[in-house]
Amino acid sequence: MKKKSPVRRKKKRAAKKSSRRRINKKLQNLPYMRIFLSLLLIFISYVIYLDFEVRSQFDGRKWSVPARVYARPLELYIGKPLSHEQLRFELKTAGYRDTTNNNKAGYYQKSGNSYRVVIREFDFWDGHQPPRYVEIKLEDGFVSNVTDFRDHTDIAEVRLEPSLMGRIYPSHREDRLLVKLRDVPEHLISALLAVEDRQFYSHYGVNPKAILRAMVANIKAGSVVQGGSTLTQQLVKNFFLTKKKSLVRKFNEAIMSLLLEMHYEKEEILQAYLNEIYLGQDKKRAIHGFGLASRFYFDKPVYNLELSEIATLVAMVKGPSYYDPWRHKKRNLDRRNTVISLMQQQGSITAYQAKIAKAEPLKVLARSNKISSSYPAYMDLLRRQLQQDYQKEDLTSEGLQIFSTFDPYVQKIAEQAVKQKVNQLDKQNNLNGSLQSSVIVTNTNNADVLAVVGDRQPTYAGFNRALDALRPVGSLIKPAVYLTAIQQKNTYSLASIIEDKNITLKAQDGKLWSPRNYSGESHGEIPLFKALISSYNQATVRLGLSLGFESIVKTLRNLGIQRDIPPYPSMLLGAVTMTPLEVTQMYQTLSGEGFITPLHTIRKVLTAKGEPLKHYPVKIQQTIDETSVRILNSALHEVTRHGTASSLRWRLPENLKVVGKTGTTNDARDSWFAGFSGEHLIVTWLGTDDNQPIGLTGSSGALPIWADIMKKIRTRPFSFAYDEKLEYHYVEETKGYIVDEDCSSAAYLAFRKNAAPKDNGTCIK
Amino acid sequence: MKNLKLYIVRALILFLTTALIACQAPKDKTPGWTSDSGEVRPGPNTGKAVLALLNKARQASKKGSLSAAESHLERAIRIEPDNPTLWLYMAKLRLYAEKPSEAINLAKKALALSGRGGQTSIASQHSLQSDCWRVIAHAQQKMGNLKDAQTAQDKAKSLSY
Repeated sequence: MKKKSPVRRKKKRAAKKSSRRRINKKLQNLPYMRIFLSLLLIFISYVIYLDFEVRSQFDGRKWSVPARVYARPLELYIGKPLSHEQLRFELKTAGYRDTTNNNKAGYYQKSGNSYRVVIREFDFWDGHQPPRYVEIKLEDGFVSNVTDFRDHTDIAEVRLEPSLMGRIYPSHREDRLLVKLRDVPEHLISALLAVEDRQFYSHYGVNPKAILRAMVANIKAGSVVQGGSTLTQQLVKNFFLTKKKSLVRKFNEAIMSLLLEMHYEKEEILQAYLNEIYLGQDKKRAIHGFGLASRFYFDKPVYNLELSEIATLVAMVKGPSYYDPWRHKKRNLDRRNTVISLMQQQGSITAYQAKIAKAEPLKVLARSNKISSSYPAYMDLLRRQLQQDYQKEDLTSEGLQIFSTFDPYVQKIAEQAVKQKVNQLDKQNNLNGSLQSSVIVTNTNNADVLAVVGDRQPTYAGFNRALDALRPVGSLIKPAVYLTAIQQKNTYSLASIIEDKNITLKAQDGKLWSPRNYSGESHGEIPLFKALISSYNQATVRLGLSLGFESIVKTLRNLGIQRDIPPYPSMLLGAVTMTPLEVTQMYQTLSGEGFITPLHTIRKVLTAKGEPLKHYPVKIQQTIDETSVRILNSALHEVTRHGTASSLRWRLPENLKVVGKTGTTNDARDSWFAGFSGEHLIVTWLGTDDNQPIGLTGSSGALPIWADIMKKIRTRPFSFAYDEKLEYHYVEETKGYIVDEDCSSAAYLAFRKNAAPKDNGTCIK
Repeated sequence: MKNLKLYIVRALILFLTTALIACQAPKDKTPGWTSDSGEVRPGPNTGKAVLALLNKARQASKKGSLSAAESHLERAIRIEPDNPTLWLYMAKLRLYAEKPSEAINLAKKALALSGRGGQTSIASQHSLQSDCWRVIAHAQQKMGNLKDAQTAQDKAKSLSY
C-alpha cells in the first residue's frame, strides 16, 4: 500500500537537517545563497506539511457515509390486519414494482385477493433473510394465507425488508454509497479516462502538457477558463481544498497530486475518485460517487449499468447541474454521445456498440420517483435519542444502519389527517393560517414511536411542536388526580360520591381563585367517575385538595412525568406546561396498565458491515399497580361513550373500543386529545405558536383529527381486563347505583373485587 | 531421562485438564437454573407466527445467543402483546443474562397479563403465575434480597399443584 514508512521519513528528515547545518556554515558569506536556502527550507517544510496532510487524510479517510435509517419491516403472518390499500402502499414504499410476469426480487403481481411478491434478500439485525417467493392472500382486511408460491408450503412468518426512511447527514449533507473498484464495470472506467484523463496510467499526478494547454487558454481569456486537471488533481481538489480557484490553490493541488501518486497505487486513487466525485443534487442532499449516482438516476447497482447509462453519468462529471439529465435533457444527451464517441476513439468500444448506445434515449428514472419522502419531525426525535449514545460525527459519517420503529403507513395517515382537518378548522375559525398542530402515534404495548407530525405542513422541517411546544395541558392532567384517588382503595371507587360545588382558593400570586366548570354550572353531589368523564373542574379541584398535591405529583412521576410540577391548586386543572411528547409518555403508562416504558424510536443499530452495535431492549418498570390503572381506564373508556368525547361513538366504528381524555385550556388556546385503542396511542394537539385563542375545545378540534387517524390505521380495540382482582358493573351517573346492563345511559365500570356499590338503582333514560 | 519423560507426561495431563475446564461454559450459580429453564409452554391460543418465532428464540438461546433470542421474542411480542408467556420468556432470558431487576419487571408484566383476557383455565393461569414468581424469586436471590426471594418462592409454591 504505502511506499514509505514514517520511521524512514523521520530519519531522512534528520539527515537533511544536519547536512543543511554544515552547508550553512560554509556559505556564511554568501547572502543570496542564504536567502535562497531559507526559501528552499521553507518550501521543503511546506511540502513536508502537505505530505503529512495528504497521507493522514487519505489513509485515515473516513468516507463520509451518512447513517441510514430504516422504517420498521412489515410483518406478514396469518391474522395480521392488512388492507389492500396498505399492502400496496407498503410495497410501493419499499420500492416494489407492479409487474405482470416477473419473478425477480423487487417485483410483485396481484391477482384477485392474492399478491405474489418476490421479497428481496436482506440482512436483518437477527439474521439474513434470503429472497422469498411469497403469496399473500387478503380476506376481510386480514392476511388469510401466506405461502411460498414455488413449493406451495406454508410460511409462518416473513418480513418485507424495511424501507429506507431517512439519512443522517453531516452539515454539508454529502450522501454516497461506497463502491469497490472491482464492482465497477470496465466501460465506466474507460469512459471516465477517455473523457477526463487519458494519460491517467502514465502520468505522475500532474499532466504538464494538459496544464500548459490550459494555461495558454487561460492567459488568452484573461481568467481561469480551462482546467488541465488529471483525475488525481480533481480528487485532491475535492478531498483537501476549497472550491475557490486561485494560483495558490493550483500550486497546492499540483504538489499534493504528485505526493498522492508517490504514496498510492493508481487503483487506490481511482477507487477514491469514483466514490468522491460530486454527481448531482437532490434538494439539500449532495449526491457523491458513482455508487449512489447509479441508484439515484437509474435505481440500479453500479455493476448493472448499461453503456448508455454509464455515458450519461460520465457526461455529468464536468458539471452535474449543467448536464442535469432531468432539467437539461438535450444537453446531457449531446454530452453523453460525445462521451460515447470518445470511448470509441480510444478503442474501448466498437463502432457498432457506439452506434447502438447513441441511438438509445436517456434512461433516467421518471423525476417523480426520485423525490424521497421526508419525515423531519420523526427524524428529529430519532436523532435526539441517538445522540444520547453516539457522537454526531459517527452518525453522519460511519454509514451506520439504524433500524427504527417508524411506521410509514401510520405516518401517512397522520399526515393526511392533519393536513385536511387543520386547514378546515383554521378556515372555520378565521385563524388566517396560524392554526398549528402536532400528532404522536405510538404502540401501546412496547412504546414504539410509530409516527410524529410537528407542523401542519408535515414535511416542513421547522419548529417541531410534537417535541418542543411547551403548552398547558388542561384537563389531560385530570386522570392523574382520579388515579391518585383510585389508588387509595379503602377510600375511593369510581362510584364514590364527591362534590361539584363552587370553591375559592388562594392562588400562587396571592389572589383569590374560583375555578368554574366549562358549562358554568355546578352539579352538586355526583359519583367520582361522572366528574372525570364530564371533566368537571370544581369536583376535580375539591378531590385534588383532599388528596393533597404531593400524592398527585407522585402519581405524575409514576406516570413518567419528570418535569417539575408547581404545587399550586391551578395545577389540578392542568395549568402545567408539557410537550406533546411528555403527554404521550404519561398516557403510555396508562395504556401500559401501570408499567412505564420509555418512548423509543430505535430498535437496533448496526455498523456499515452489519455487525450489531447496540441493541435497545424492551425496558419496563411497574410504577403503579395494574388494577388501579385498569379501573381508571374503564372510566376513560366511558369518556368516549358518555363523556366529553362521546362523539367518538359515531366517529368510530361500533366495535372499535377506545379510551381517551379531552383537554382544553383557558379561553380555548389549546385543544388536546390523548387516548388509545388496544394497540395504538395517539396524542393530538392544536393551537397557535403565539398562544392565541383558537375557539376550539379538545372535543371540537383535536378529537376529530385523533378519530380520523384511529379510524384509518388498522388497530385492535381496547379490551377490558377480566382478572381475579376485578369485577364490572353497569352504573348510573347520578348516585353511582348499579343498574341493569340494558340501560343505555349506564357506564360500564371496573371495581376491585367486593368493592362495588351495594345499592341498585333505576335506569335514567 | 525417565524423569524427564514422566515430567512431560505430567505436564501434558495438567495442561489437558486445565484446557478442559477452561473450555466448559460458565455455569450459572443459581441452584436449579440452567439454560433449559428458558423453555416455555405457550398457551393454546398462541398463533402460528408466534410459535415459529418462539422456536427460533429457543434455538438461539440454546446456542447461547441471548440477544438473537430476544430479537425473535420482541417480534413475537409485537404480534401477540397480551400473551403472558412471551413476557415470561423474556424475563427468563434477562435473568439468564444476569439482569435480575429487569427480569423482575418483565415477570411482573407477565403476571399482570396472566388471566387478563379471562379465556384460559384457572389451572394454567396459576401454573404460569407460579413460573413468574419463581423467576422473581431467583432474581431477588441474585440481587441478595433473600427475604423477598423467600416471599416470591412461597407464592410460587402456593400456586403450583
